[in-house]
Amino acid sequence: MSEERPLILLRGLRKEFNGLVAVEGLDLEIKEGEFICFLGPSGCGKTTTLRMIAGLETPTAGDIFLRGKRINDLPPQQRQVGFVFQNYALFWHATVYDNLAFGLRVREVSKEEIDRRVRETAARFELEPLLETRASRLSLSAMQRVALGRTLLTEPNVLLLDEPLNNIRPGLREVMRAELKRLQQQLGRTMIYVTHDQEEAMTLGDRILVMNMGRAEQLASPRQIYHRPETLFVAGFIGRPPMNFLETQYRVEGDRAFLERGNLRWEVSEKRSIIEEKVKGNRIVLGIRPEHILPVAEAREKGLTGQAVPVTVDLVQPLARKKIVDLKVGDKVIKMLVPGTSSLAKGEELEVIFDPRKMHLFDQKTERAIV
Amino acid sequence: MADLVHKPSQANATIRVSRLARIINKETNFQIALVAPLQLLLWFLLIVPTIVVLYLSIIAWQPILGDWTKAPIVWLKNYGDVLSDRVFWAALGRTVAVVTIAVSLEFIIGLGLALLFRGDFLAKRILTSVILYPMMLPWVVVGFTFYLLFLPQGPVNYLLRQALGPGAAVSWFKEPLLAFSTIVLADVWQWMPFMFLILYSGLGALPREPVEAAMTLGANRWHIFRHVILPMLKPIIIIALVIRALEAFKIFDLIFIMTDGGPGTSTESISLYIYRLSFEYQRLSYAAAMAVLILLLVTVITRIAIRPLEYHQE
Repeated sequence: MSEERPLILLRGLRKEFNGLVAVEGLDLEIKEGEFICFLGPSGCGKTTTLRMIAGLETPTAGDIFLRGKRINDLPPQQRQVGFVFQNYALFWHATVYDNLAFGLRVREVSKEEIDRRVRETAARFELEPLLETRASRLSLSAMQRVALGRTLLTEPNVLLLDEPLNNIRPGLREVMRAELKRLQQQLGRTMIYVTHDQEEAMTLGDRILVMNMGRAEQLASPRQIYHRPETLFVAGFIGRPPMNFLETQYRVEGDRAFLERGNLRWEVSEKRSIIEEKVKGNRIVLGIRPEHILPVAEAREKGLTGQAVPVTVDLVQPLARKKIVDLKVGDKVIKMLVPGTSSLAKGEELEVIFDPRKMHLFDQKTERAIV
Repeated sequence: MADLVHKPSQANATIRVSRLARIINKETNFQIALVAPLQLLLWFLLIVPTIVVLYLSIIAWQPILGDWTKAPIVWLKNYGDVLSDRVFWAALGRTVAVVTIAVSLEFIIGLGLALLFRGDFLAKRILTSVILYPMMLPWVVVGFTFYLLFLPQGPVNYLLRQALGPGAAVSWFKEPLLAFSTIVLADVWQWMPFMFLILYSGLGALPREPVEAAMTLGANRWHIFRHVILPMLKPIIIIALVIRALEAFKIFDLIFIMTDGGPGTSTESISLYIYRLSFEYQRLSYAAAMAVLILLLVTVITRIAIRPLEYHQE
């Protein structure tokens, strides 16, 4: 078996439900031992994709390969793919012991062997005192551990997790997220984790697949997703508060190039060749994250230059250590993140600068990044 | 911050309410008012007749003896007589047999059909309503239909003769076992749909995830049915069985119409026996004692039957 071969390969995967397209043209390679997060708003097709990998849905078109073998027609029972459901889907009537033993019993493993392995798993997941407890009486955290333990006992090729932290209150959620990360590092198992929570995806994933309307928007490391979003959707979806977008016109004057919006203009001469190569038409969306907008004075201190944008403070929302400031640029509102000590108040007028190194440009027509 | 500390003065907070409103507002009064009509109805429909039956069962009275309020109280004598009545025990045993056999068959067929109907197939909707049809018929109609079917010159014998020759006709109502079978058959025909309906909707209401989880854990169809679906369905199965068994225990109409308890008393159910005692033999006190005993028996058995249900709810 070659090391190069991906554990899971999806090719042109498509799923329709009664004519509604849930997943469209999805290609993906997952390497052994990777932690991949599927991230996207609800209804983007991430769970459907997961269910197709598990065999719980049949793809309308496209192929799924597991270790090089096409498994489209293999029933879930024969795929050795572990699935942890959003609500854990435990056998509520049964004890923790019976839940854990289920996968081994159906494989007709000997009683002694089952007992040994169930107790081993129970010890690892700190479920020993609960072995005789009915699953329906467990705490959420214990339910999650049973669901994980039960699935891992069958030694799956890959572990699929469908928003397993969704029903858990904030606070406990972070704890369980850390537990999960630790577990994955211990086991070195391949995991695919579906979530709509960007923070979860950013902290857990080796790579993140951002999905929208059934399509893959971008597959990259969390850093890249944040710093080099490839599409308008990814740029707007990742980051809190979200990235600001300003529609601009591209204009060339002599050997200099500008993005213009009303009487504002940003020089983009050094990106001229790439813009002209990639963009059809002249409409470009300028993206800037709230944390990369600075008041002029501060920007000058850091040696940043560029278009000073006159703005009016519209709203100030204090957070724990920062403040989100809504700024009016003409009729458009953009958000700026400032330190909590800032004394900006509603109605105040000032000038801000967009950090030129952090500006993102998108073709308005294709909604793709210009890089 | 000062705004938050400010409170309206106590004087303003006092709200005037009318006397009536105050009475209604008292929570217990309001609750009593809500349940009172039903309580009164129940009293007249249930409790008064129950008391009358209880009283009847401890006196020695028959209609020919005149005023029942003047009949002597014999306490538990009637009960003792019932317990040493061989006909009573035979009727009780027969009734238990009908309930056990008919309800089991209804359950097995109903569950099988319900499982079958989980899949999708042609004309499923139409078939569903066809299956439910017998349940909508009155007992009398079902009894009479089956009586006609199994008459010596009826359609069943006709078919038997056509298929197996002239000697194949059977006197259905002359043989105790055969007569018993026709009654069970009629009951199953009429009430299997009830089982089907409850189990089918119960299956439909089960969460899908545990089944899917079992699939990904490698369980085959049988495992999933035996260890996932059946346990999840258990409360519904218990309810269906209890309702059906309670109803079947009172079996009367079918037997009254089809065999009238015969041949001899070989198909006489407990209800039919009690009916005979009260209205044919006029032994109302004795029949009342028997009815009370049956009530106690059914209550105890039902309590035991639904115990797993309470455990399930924890």
